[in-house]
Amino acid sequence: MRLWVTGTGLVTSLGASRESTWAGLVRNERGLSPLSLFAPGDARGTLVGEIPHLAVPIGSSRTTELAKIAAKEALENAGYENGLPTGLRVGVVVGTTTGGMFEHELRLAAMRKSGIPSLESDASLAALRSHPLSHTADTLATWSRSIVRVRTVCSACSSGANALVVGATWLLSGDVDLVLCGGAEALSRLTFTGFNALGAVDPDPCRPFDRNRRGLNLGEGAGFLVLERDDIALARGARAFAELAGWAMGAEAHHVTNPEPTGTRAAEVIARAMKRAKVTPRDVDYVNAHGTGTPLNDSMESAALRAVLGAELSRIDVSSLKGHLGHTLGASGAIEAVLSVLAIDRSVLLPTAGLTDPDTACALKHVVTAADKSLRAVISNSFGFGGMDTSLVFAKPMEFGPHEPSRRRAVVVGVSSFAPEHVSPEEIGSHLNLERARRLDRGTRLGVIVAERAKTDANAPPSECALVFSSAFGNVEGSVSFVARVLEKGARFASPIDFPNLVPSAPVGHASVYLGTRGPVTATADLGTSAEAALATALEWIVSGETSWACAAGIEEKSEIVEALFSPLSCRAGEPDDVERSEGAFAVLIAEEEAARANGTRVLARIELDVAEVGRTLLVPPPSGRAIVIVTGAADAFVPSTWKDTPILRGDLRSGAHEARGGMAVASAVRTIAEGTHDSVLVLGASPSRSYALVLTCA
Amino acid sequence: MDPATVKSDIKALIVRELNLEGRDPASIVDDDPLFGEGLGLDSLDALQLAMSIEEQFGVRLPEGDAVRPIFKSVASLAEFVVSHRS
Repeated sequence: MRLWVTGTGLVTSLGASRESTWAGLVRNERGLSPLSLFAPGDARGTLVGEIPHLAVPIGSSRTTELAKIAAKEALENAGYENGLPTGLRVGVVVGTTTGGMFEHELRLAAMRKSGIPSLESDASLAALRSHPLSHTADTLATWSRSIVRVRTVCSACSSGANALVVGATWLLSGDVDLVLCGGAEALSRLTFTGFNALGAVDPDPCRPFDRNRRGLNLGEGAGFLVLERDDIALARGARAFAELAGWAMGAEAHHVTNPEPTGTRAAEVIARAMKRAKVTPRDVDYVNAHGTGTPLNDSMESAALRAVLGAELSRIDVSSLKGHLGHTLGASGAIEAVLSVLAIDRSVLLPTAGLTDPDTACALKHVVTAADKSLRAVISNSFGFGGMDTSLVFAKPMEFGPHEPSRRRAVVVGVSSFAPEHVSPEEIGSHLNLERARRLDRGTRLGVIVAERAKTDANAPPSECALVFSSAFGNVEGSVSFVARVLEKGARFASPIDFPNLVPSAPVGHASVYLGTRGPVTATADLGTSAEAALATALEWIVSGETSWACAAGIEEKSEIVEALFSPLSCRAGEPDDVERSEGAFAVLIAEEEAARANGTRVLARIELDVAEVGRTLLVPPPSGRAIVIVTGAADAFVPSTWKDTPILRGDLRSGAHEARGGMAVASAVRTIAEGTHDSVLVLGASPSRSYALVLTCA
Repeated sequence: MDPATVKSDIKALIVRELNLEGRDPASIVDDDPLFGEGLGLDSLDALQLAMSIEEQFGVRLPEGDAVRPIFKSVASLAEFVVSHRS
C-alpha cells in the first residue's frame, strides 16, 4: 500500500490559498507584520504572521475558519469539489493547540472578577461551543456522510505533523480509505504573551540558523492534505503530488520547554521515519527543518541532522519556512508538510528567510533563494514542547516503499483508576518524587500517578511506550488565570513557568519526562468521550504497528467554568441528570499481543474498538459467555442489536459524570474480566458527534 | 532597605515561585549557586525568578549575559535588588 497525497490546501500570512502562499515563498517574501488582532501590551516582540480579514461567525473560531479554508482547498485539489462519494470511508484528523482560545479568553478572564454567569441567563454563552479543542474536527466532520472516523490531536508544535501520522495509521490498518488531515492554529493572547514570557520571541523578523538568532515570531494559519490509498486514487484517475513515505514520533523525555541539546533523541526519530520510508541518506535531497529561530532548537536540530545524515548532509539542502510564515504552532507541521509535497511536485527548493550569517553550530547547506531542483525524498521535522518529536518523509511517487498493511491484535496489560476528589494534595505528592515533580500541576500529577500504576505490573519497556492523554477542555482554569493576570498586571508579568503547562499536551509531555518513556506522545480531546478518544488512539497505534506498548490516560478535574459553561454545552447534553459531576483519572496500558507475551507480561483482556459518527451503527462482535454492557452518559441509545439482551450497567453511577468516565468504565471492565466474573464486556460512550464501542474479552 | 530582609524575602520567593515543595527557605545558603549545582535551577526558573523579582521588588533585571553574575546566588540577587530599588 502506498499513501498518496492527492490534494493540499493552505492559508498562511502570505496568502489565503496554496498558490498565493507558494508564490510568496518563492519570491522570498516575509508575511510578518506588527500584531493588530489585539493589543500587544508591553510585550517585547510584536511581529507576527497574522491572517488579515478573516471572517469568523459567532459560535466558530479563527482556528476553525482557517481549517475550513485549507481543508476545502485540499478536497477541491484532490478532485472532490462536488463532495465525497458515498461508500468511501473517510477520516478527519486535526492537530491544534489552542482551538477557540482567542475568541473566548477575554470573556473567560473577566469571569475571574465578575463571577461565572449561567447559560440560562446569557444565551450568548452558547458561542463557547467553539472553545474546545475538538470543535474544529467536529465542524469538518459535518461536511460529509462519508466521514466515518474523526480525531483531534495535540502534541504542541508537532500537532499538525501528528495529525498526518494518525491519518496514516488509519489507512494502514484499513479503517479508512482516505484521510483529510492537517493542522490549524490562530493567534491568541495566551500564546503571544506566553512565548514572550519565555523570552522565545525575536523582536525583529526571526533568523533561523543565524548566528544572531534570538527567537521565533508567532504566526497563524492552516494546512491540510488529502491522503489516499494508491489503489483507490489510481482507480479514480487521481494524481499523486507526492507520497507520504515514512513517519515516526518519539518523546525526548528531557525537559518541558528545552530540547535535548545533543539532538540524539530527535535523530532517533528522524532515523526511524527514514527506515519506515526505506530511504537512506543518499536518497534525501531536502530537509524542511523545524527551524524556529530559537537558539536552542536550531543547534539541536542541526546536530540531529548531522547524526542521521552524516557526510551526505553536505549535499542535502535545508531550509526553514518560519522566517516567512512565523511559527504557527499546531499548524506548522501540516503547513510544512504541504510545502514539502509542493517542493517535490514542482521540483523547487524554498529558501530560509532572515538568514545572513549562518551559525557555525548550524553548519548546513542552507537554501537562501528559491531554486529549481528535482527532489526524491524530503524530510519534514516538527518538535514540540515537552520533547514531542515527529519526522515525516515525503517522496516522489513510486520511488520508495511500499508500506505493508498492518492489523495486529491488542491486549490490555495494566489498568488504574481513581476518583481524586477527596485525595489531598499531600497524599498526591506522597506518590511522587517532589523534586522532579515540582513543575507538574495537580492534573498532571494525577496523570503521572495513574500511568505509572498501570505500567508497573506490565513491566513495559520505557524506550517504546507511547503515552496518549485526554482532557476534554484542557487546563481551562489555568489558562483563564494566566490571561486574567496578564490583563491585570501586563504582559511582562505573564508567568514563564505556568505558560508551558497550559498547552493541552503539557500533562502528557511532563509524564513522558517524569516516567522516562520515549515512545510517541500526544494529547486528544473529544468532549464527553475524550477518554474513549485516548483509548482509541492508543489502540490504533498498536493495531497499525506504530508502537507495541501504549498507555492511554485521562484526567478530568473539578472546574467551575467547565461545570457551568462547557459540560452542559457538550457532554451532558441530553444525558440523565441523576449523576453528580465529579473528578476522574484513569490509565489503561495496551500492548501488542505478541510483544506482551514475549515480554512475559500478564494479559488481562483483549480489546477491540469501533467508532461511529452520528447516524451510523457501531459494528462490534457479539457477546460471548457471561457478558455485560457498561454505558456512560447517554450511550444506552447505542447498544448494538446483538447485545440487546445483555445486562446493562451505568458506569457513571460509580465514576461520576466527567469526560474520563469512559476510561474508568474500561478499567472496571478489564478488572471484571481478569477476575473471571465476566467473559466479555462492551463499554459504550457517546458524545454529541459520535459513539465509541470498546469490546473487552478474556484473553 | 535591609539586605538581610531582602535575602530572606528572596529565599521565600524562590521556594514559592519555583514550587520547591518541602524546602525550608531558611535552609538556602546565601552564597550557594542557584543554577546547575546547588539548588539545581534551570533557564525556565531564571525567567520565573526575574519576573517575580520585578513584581515583588519593582526592580527589573537586565536581559542576556548581563544577568548571569546577578543570578549567581541569593546574595548577589539581594545586592542587585537593594542597590537598584528606588
